[in-house]
Amino acid sequence: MDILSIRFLLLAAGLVVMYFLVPKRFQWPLLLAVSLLFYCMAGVRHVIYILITASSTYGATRIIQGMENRQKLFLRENKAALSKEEKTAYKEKGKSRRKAVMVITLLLNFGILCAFKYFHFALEQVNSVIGALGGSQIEDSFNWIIPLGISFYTFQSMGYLLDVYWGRVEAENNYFKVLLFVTFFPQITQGPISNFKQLTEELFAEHSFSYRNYSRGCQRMMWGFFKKMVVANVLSIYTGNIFANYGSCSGLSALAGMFMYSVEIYADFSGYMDIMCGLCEILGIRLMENFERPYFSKSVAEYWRRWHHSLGEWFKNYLYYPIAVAKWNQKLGRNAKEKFGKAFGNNLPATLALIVVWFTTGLWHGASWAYIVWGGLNGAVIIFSLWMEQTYEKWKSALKIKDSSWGWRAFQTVRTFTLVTFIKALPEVGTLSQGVGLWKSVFAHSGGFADLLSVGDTKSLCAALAGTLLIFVTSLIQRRQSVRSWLEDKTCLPVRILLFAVLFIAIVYFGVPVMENVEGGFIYAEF
Amino acid sequence: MQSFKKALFVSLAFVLCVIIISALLVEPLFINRPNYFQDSEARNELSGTIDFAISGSSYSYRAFDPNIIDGVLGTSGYNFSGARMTMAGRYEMLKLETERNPIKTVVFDMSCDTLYRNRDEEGPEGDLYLLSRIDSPLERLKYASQQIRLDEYFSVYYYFLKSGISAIINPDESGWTDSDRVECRGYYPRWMNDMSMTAAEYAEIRNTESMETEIYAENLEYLNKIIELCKEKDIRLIFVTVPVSNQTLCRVDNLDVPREKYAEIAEANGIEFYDLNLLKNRSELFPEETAFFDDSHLSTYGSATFSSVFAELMQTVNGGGDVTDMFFSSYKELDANSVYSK
Repeated sequence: MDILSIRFLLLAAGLVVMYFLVPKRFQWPLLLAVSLLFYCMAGVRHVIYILITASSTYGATRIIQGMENRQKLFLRENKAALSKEEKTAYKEKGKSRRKAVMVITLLLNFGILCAFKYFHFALEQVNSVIGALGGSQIEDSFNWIIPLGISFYTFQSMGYLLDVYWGRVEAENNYFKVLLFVTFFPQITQGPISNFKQLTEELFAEHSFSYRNYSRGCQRMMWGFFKKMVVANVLSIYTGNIFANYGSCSGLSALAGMFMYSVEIYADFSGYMDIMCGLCEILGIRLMENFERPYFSKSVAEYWRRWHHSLGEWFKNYLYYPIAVAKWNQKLGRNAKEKFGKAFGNNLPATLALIVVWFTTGLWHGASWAYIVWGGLNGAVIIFSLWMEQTYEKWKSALKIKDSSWGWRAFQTVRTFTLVTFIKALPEVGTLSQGVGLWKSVFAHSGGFADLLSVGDTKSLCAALAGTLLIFVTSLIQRRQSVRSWLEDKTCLPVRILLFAVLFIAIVYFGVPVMENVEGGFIYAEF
Repeated sequence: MQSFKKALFVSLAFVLCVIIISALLVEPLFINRPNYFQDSEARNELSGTIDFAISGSSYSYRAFDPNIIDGVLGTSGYNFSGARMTMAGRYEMLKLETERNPIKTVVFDMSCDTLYRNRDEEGPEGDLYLLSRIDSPLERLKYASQQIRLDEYFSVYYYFLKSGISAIINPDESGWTDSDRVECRGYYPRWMNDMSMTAAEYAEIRNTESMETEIYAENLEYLNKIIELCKEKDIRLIFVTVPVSNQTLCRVDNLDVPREKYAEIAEANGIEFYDLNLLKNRSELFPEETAFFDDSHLSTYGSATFSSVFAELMQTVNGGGDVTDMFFSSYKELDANSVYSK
């Protein structure tokens, strides 16, 4: 279901009314029913895959927890009877069985994800090799539609599975609660990727209607619609034109197009988050925040802590740390320290973990070399900064640069924004060579902004630029306090009602005509 | 409960605020009437005098000049047609105008796609134009609630916001005044374009397109309502097909399908039906060089001829004359005798 539609608004309104009318113990089952309905509207035949994920996750976590509990009980009951070696052997056997269940479930679910997302890409690479060797290529006649949200719900479920395996959280006994955790509709298409403990605390708590939650939630939803419809959708007309014609457009237009794309994708993604987080806020449910003014970051590493925070957390918890602290990696680090020095030894394990994380991140975003290189570039910048950290400190000390100085912070922010803009645009044009072509056009072609401004209408562009300025101003306010609190402090209720009424009309006036001309929905729903 | 009451109060206040601001922005569209087709004041002024009505979409909008027809038949006519007007819209307009006018005759445009146009695919454009022509806010709301689909609400809201703001910024956009509209009596001419083609060009497009042949149920439903309305009010209903250019006649290969359907409905209800595409002398009357604006609509020149021809045809029929010999019996027969088939 398109969330930029009146049907979604009616569904949301109906959900809010029903949520607070039903007895509190039926609130989460109602959420489950609506989530399944939402998913079915995207295509009933794909429900089977999300059910496989939910069911396999539930089954595996119950089995693992059961094994763990039985092991603990057995060891407690036979504490005196067993020798230390027997206890160790028993624990190892139990651990390997639990590991087998975990691995099988991971393979099943990531296998389904990879089959849907990466089959064509893999076949393409195989065909390239076959072609280079002069053989006859394999026909790619498989034409399947990727199930809605598969990247997001697979990661979320597998995170829960690993949490249970590592004993961080106890397995849930109620299948339908696990099903809700997996299918919860506000986050199914674009996240945030929540951890089980944090999300279920919110989902299964009983919520009473609160005016504050209602008004703040509605305000946030409207802000999200504004960002998506007026800013993101309008800018996409310009960026789409530039990315399609980078070969012939001027350098300034290409550069402006890339910066517009940075604004577009932020407005698109964070707009969606605002809409869904706003709806959840009305219900009294707090979702994890996915953005924290990412374009104010002073380094690429910081940027990735502030952008799509939940994905970064997932990779950190379930990929980076396990690799970084793995015994083989730690041993490698110690050996490297002996041979090449302390700094080398300390950085090596982290570097190896980062390489894996960024390769996987690139692949998660898209099945193409452009995305793999995109991930690699991000990783390379972060790794480079890690290795150069001490050198940078020496340079800053020599040049007497203070971290707290306004000029230095501004330089870092602009530098980081420019860097992420260039990297971000690479896979958006199409292939890797097209992305590089876009970069080259920034420096190769002269000319003004005529190419950029040749599409769309001035009215919409002015609205999008004004919207961009508004986003910037609200981001500045957010450094001190939430914008909604700021509004409550500075304005009275009638003024706020008038402000949001004007915002609503502006969304319709500037956003509706563009929405009807823009193909597709939200950018991150494609991931 | 207090929390809920406050939320309800604030929500209602917000909705009221949106409605008031929207109304302030939209009403200039109806006050200034900047679009040439906004003829509500003209119709109000002529109310009570019209006895000859023309109803249709853009085919008849550009074809029937009531001043010419009135000159021949001695009637007081008005062309109530509208661009992309749906059958529901035609019914709404006729229902309104037959109540306040002594209409005795309704000439009903039944062009090739009249029963086949799919409102769900075409969108709300025709309904938007009609809503701009309805004066009363309550009537507008009533029509909109019946005809505008759920998914179109924001598009329609946007259209009226945009039109209202344009009407504020540029109140005289079209240059048409109410007295102009009274004078034209609902007819809005178009300039001419040379639609002639060479034999080779005709050969290239010949029979390359087929009309949609599935009747859109809502169209038939409202046509039946219009037939009932006319029977109820003892109004003479006449089906007319407006001439289109040779390009359309050459390109489309199944024009007999809608024609036969219209003939069937006309016969079942005792309605006269004249397909003026089938006039034997259409080539002389509607030369491709001057008679058309595009492949489906008559030009100023073409509509003047058409209105005269139609009025004379009616005069003959009213006098008891037989006009059958003036027409080919089918598009197949027209095709066999046309310049583009040679």
